[in-house]
Amino acid sequence: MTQALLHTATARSRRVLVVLLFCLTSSASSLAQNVEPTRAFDEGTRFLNSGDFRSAIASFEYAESLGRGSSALFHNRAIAHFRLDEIGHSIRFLERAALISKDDPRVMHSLDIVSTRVVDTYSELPIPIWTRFQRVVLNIASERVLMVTGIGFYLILCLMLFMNILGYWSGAWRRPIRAVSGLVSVILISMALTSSIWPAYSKEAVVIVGEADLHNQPDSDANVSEYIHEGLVVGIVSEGDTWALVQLPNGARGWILTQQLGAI
Amino acid sequence: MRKLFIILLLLLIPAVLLAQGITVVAHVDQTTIGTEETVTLTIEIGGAPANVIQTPSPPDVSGLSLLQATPSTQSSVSIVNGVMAQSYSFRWAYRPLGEGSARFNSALVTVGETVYKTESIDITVVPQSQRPVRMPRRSTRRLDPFSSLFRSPFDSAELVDEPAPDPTDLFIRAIPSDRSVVQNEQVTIEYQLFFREGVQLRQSRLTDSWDAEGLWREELDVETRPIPQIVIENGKRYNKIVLKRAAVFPTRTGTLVVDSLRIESEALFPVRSSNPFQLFSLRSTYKPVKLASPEVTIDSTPLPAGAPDSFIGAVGSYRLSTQIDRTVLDVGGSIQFIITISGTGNLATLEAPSFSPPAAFELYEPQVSTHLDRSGARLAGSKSFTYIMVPRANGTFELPGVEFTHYNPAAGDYQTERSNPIEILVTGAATTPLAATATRNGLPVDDVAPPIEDAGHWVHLSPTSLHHSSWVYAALLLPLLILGVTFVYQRHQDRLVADVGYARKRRANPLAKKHLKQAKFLLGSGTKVEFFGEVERAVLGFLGNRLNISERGLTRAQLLGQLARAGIDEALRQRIQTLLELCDRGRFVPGTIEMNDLEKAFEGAASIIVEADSALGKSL
Repeated sequence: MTQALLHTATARSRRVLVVLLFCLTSSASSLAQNVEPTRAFDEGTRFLNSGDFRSAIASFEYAESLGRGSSALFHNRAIAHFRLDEIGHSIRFLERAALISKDDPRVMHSLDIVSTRVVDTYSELPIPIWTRFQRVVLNIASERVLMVTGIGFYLILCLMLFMNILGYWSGAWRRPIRAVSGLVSVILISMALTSSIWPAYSKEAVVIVGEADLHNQPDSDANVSEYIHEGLVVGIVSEGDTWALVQLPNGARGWILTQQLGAI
Repeated sequence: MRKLFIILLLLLIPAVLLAQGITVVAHVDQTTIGTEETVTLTIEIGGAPANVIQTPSPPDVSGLSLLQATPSTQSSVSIVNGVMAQSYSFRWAYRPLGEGSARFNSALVTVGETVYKTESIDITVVPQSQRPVRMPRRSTRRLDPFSSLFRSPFDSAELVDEPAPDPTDLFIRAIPSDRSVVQNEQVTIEYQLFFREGVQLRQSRLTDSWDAEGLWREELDVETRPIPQIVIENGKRYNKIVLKRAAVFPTRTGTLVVDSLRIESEALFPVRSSNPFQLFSLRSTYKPVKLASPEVTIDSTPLPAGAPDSFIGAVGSYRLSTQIDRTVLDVGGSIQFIITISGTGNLATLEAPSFSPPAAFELYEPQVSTHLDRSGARLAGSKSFTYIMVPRANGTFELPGVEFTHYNPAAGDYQTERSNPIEILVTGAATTPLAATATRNGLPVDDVAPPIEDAGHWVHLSPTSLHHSSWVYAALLLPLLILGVTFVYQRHQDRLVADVGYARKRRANPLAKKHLKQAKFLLGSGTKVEFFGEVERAVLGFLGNRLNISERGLTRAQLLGQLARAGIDEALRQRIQTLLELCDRGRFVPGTIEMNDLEKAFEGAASIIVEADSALGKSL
């Protein structure tokens, strides 16, 4: 049928058809990729509602293994862990859900509730101004949105320059448009790239065991500087196969077994 | 002697037996005070036994500042017109915040199961200068309580002439169970009244506040109908009865002082007569006396280090027990879980041990009930924390064991007791929270949000970082590349238009190739005249374009001169001249030309163009 269409179409309409077919194929492929995770999500939610929390977690885990995730998936999995009194895992998946959907009141409410079960309380280091600014911006638009928008302005600038080289679009209005599009594109692209290289939210993990020892050295026999408890969110400074150097909210650092952490 | 016993018994019969209705009254010592003075609020509870009276909280006030949150207490027994009454008072001292009016609002007092409300009291605060100058108050704390017994203001002038009774005839002794304890450890203080045979008392009452700053106090029961014990002290024979027994608990560390216990009474002392048969003189009269026990000093030391996490300050000897009313229930049903701590110690201030049921359970604040046993030498009893839990999800859950740690002074270490975990089976379907427990967003107040039913927007879990994405660099560099190419092309086009030399130079090679191509075609067809014409146009056109000269108007000598000036060497010039002469012959005398001359001419033209292009490229 495709060949028949192509055969009957003129050269110009052929090109249009090819583009349309590409778009349709892409979106259909994308939809097909979401079918199985959605089915697993629905199944997990049914288990969750019926009180079968272990089965719910298994379904959610399967959906995640397909390389897809959503705020709802992580939220529901966190609830299942919470019902099983696994506070560390619950915090872990709620933090993940919050990363995807920072404004969802359900996620933030659940996170507040589960956080009340966390034993450790530490004062937090102040966040640098740049990082705060970065977080504010990224709360409005993601890195990709910033980059795509920046590239859009960049293309406008290039188009203006292109037409200028070819001698078209002469007029006094060109200069301010060129200046604005150039400035905006530089700002947006810079923001997107710097946020990609130096993320606003550093790599974090959650303590998933009841109590974990924080050692001065990556050695079980080394002195224990602190005892931290389930549900505490720590920053990952560096990570190996067995040991991870973590930073507590108050800035204190120490080594902990990686198996006692769950990455957010 | 019998008469004396009757009097004492009448003094000490408990209020429980004589209560004629409970009264709760609040009053102040003065309704007009100076700015530098203090006012004492007293809440007096009459007609109720001590064990049903809960220590009231100080009332809300305006214009006043509370000096001490812990009230001083006083219990008194009095006989007025032959009627015995027992009352308990709680006193707080306040300082005014400024001139004007101040107010004590109503206080709530719980006696047994009933809550009583006192009347509010207004007082006036005036400048201190408007208040009469107060005489220095005689210190009530004396090192020797017996020395002041008969110098009381109650002993008026007409009694001064009376012979002073011997202080060793009548005195109170305070006996603490221990003088050095750890913080919050129980100390029992027993106040014993000693009196010589023949001494008679009437209208006795406990007076003044019995204060013990830094100590939590609990009254212990004493015999309501005490039978005096006969004891020998310093070789003298005394009757001894226990006036009061109290358990105190240091709430802080340091040296703490328990005030003297004071009583006021009227005493009849036997006149020392030489007649051994006359015990009481007819002239003997009752005289007001004040008795005070010595102060008791207690050293409170901090608890030893190394307390487990589950230690919440309990000191004493305790046992932990738990009780649950059921282990199988439906979602939404309720379970009653009771944690009971029993033993000796300060149960009144004992906090509930940490208890965290699984998150699926909605936990309500515990109901606390305390039962104190005041009958023994030490305060004992039990305290129960009754939790109500409602499961919101089904499944099998484990109620964690309760851990309770207390410091046992007798053993000198921390002791921890743990209850066993309890498995609970919850059946039925999960429920949604009640509307009353929902937030403005409809989310449960004390539970996580319900599951989200819609999967929402799916995202890739491992997206490539922007700075590692090739499309970003392509999107940034490709427009730049296009711009560069466009710029170069446009410049080239402009130069072709504006610079003839440049344009001819750029056209030289294509034109030469075009003519040579045509010549090659003609070579095959054997048309000699046209062939040599094309060869000549190819060579002359190339040279003219490269040298930017009009080759058509030039003689051969002029052309060779231009080539020499352009840096073409002699050999190449000679070959050019030979080729051009051959072309002339071929065009005008074609009969003299062999076919192999055509091929030589074609190859010669091609090589001349290549070599001339190379030579002119270097020199130009």
